[in-house]
Amino acid sequence: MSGGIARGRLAEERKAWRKNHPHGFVAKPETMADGSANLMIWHCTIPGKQGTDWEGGYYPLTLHFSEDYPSKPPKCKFPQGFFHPNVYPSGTVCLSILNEDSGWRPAITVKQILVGIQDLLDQPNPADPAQTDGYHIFIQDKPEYKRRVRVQAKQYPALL
Amino acid sequence: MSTVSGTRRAPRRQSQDGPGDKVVVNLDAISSPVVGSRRAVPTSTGARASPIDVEALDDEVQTLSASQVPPPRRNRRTRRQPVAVVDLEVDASREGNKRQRVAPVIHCLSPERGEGSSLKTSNEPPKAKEPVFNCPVCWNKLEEPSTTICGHIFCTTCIKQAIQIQKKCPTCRKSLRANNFHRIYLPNSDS
Repeated sequence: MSGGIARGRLAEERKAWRKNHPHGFVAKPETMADGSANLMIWHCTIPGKQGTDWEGGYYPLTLHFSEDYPSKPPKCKFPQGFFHPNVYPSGTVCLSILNEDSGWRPAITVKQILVGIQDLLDQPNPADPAQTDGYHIFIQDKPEYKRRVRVQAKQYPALL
Repeated sequence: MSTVSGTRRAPRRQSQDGPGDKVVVNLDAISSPVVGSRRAVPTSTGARASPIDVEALDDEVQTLSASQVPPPRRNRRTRRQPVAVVDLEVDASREGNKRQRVAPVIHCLSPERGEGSSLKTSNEPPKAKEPVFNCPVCWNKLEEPSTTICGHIFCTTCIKQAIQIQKKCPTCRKSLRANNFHRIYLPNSDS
């Protein structure tokens, strides 16, 4: 039954996303070898918000849903070594709405998750550091931090 | 000659006097032949008679227009006399009458009624449609609706799972235990 709820919800999420989603974002379930879709893993792309140092970058993000979704939040991962104060070295995103103990609610949609992470990119939360490199540079050397962000933006160009 | 002189004096008196005095004018008219005959002697020229009549007519018109104090009388007089200025007034009054008349009212109301009917038709669909409530957890139509102690509504299966796994309300994150929800029956539910 729990598995049924998760896949049913994800199927509805997929329909809702295809019907209406924010410009520049990509979100689609993983395609397996036999051509069918694996609803439990979604490959997404988050565009850097205009007017910020992140602009121009299209950052790949993977969402891993468990059978307990939506009672439990998905695990959202950037590529390993992604430069951001709130992203673990493994790429996992540290965000309140993705933490089942603090801000997660089953009513939160995939759309809200992706937009929330986009907001997090340019508005790091220094009170909740997840990696040493990003955190220290963000706190001690702002110009260097901005330079690193712009360099990373060029590492993830649009895949058009 | 005597008759001509009589007509000369009569219109002058009428133009000078108001509607009430017209009766008095009639009395003077009765005794006018004698007085007329006397005055006729000094004004014997025929050429003078015609221009005087024209002026008298003009005076009458001006007086009437000036004395149009009562609205109904104004309407009547303006309708009867075909003078240019009066024509404008007549046209204005006619337009007013047209607007007030039943026929134009019907014409004006008919498009409004049409619009009203169109509005009604547009309003009917949403009223006819019964509300469909979806579960915030599974995003499907509510099955066996149940409500939590905090008042939020989910499918029975969904809220059971949520409490078992998360121990919080899926909507407001209020702490919940296994027995903190119960079945409810919505007005539009068949079960």
